Amino acid sequence: MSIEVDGKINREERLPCVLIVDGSDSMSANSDNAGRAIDLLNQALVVFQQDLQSDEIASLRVQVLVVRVGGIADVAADWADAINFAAPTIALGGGTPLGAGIDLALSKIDQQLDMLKAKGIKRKKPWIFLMTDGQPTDGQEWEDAAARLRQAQLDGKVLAFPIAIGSGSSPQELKKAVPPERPVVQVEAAKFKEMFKFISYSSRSASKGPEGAQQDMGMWGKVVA
Amino acid sequence: MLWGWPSMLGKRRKSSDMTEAEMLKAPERYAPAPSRFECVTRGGWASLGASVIGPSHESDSLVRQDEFAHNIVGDLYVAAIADGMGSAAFAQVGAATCCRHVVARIKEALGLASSARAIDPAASVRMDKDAEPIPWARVIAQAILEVRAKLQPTHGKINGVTRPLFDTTLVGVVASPESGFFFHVGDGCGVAVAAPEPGTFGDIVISPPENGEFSNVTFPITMDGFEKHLRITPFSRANLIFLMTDGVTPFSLESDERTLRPRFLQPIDAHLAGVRSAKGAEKLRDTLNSADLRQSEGDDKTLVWARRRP
Repeated sequence: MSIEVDGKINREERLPCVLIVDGSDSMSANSDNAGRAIDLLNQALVVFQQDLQSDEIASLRVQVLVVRVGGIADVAADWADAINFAAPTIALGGGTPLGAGIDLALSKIDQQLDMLKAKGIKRKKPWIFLMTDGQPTDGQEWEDAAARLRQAQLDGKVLAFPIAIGSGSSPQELKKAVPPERPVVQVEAAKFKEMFKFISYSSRSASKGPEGAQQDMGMWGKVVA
Repeated sequence: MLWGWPSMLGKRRKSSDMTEAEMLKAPERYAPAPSRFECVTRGGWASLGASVIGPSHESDSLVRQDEFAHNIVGDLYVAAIADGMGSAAFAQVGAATCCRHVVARIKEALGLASSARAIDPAASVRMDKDAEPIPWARVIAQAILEVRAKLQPTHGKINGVTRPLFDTTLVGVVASPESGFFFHVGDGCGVAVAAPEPGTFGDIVISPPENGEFSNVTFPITMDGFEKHLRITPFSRANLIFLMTDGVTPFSLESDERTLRPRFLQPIDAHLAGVRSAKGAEKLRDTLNSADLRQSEGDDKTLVWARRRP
């Protein structure tokens, strides 16, 4: 007879998923009388956590990293299996250094893939959701990082999903970060919960299915570029 | 007792019972038992250790390449575990020689230590009766150098291919009732806990694994410049110690390798604190050999648990 311990290690194939979220000053604006965009974002992140964790298999396979851009780019929630993911509260402040956010995300993905490889754990192509309600404010750094992200997709290293929030956003800027055939989707902040449920649903499906499996975006957004 | 000595009865001794000299002279003959467990109790300390072969080593027809050694001198505790690296031809000899020799040398130093209450890694002790006192860190390095001298040559030709012979990692601990330190080269892990109540952990100090670019690359004591990888981690007011090889760390540590996973070390402590005997060590062995652990991790597994009564 042995001592009763937790002797199971999660060796499931992982789907690393990065959310680059906007915490810049402009996210303090109200959206369709539904409240401030930043508050809607924070509520939606909780919905995202709950939705992922409701799926027993996906909660072991999807890994989440949240990068915040607002003044600086920093890690709001470090890599965690979805079962251990705790939705962060995104703070407001500063401009939108989206280029720095992309570089941070790519660097964290590299580290995570190295770690998974070292542990002999298989993984799917990482996903990056890139969301902003405005224009990138880091000039040439944005241009360079967008080119790096686009190339990483052409090289088959990641899949990126640019999301323009509200009418003040610039889909054409976001389009620079993806290959021509990949769309930019626009969403109103009031639809954040539906969008994050979609992201959760897509990642849950992809964690169990073939690479790149995606779902219909339904009613939460529209293709704008 | 003379009559009980196997050679006197004309029986061939098991290869797992070879002396160190025999082991080093004919390393190809040394085959440790697939598992072992052992209990040492003295003073306020109880130390229970177990080591088991991993399923991947079994399927490759290899022997167990982990080993442990532990001892108690008055109120002072010393233990070490070693993980012979799979790339080495006689990793089991390296592991056994390393942890046994290091523990024996530290035991000598502890016997000569002036204080039985506090162990400070910066303090100086004598390694031998007539030797000058030197800091603990140098004692550890010196003991490792002695092991390295025994494990020569480091490389040899096996079936026409030059291979390392004895590469092994090392995690050890020296502890008194008030303080202590881990000494560590390579992967594996040491955990010191303030835990007056069994199964409930207070302050925790971890000596984490050190790996190369990938977690399956680590640093053996036999490598040149091992001193750069010798880490000394002090702790105080810990009454509970764990040492483990890398076959056990995935169950004990989160993937950041800096924090403890829940529901692994705590229930082991809660159980063993109530046993403190060879029966507890046997149960520890059975736990390391349980189906869940075997299915999750193919490597050899070694875990030493030690707890001091207040």
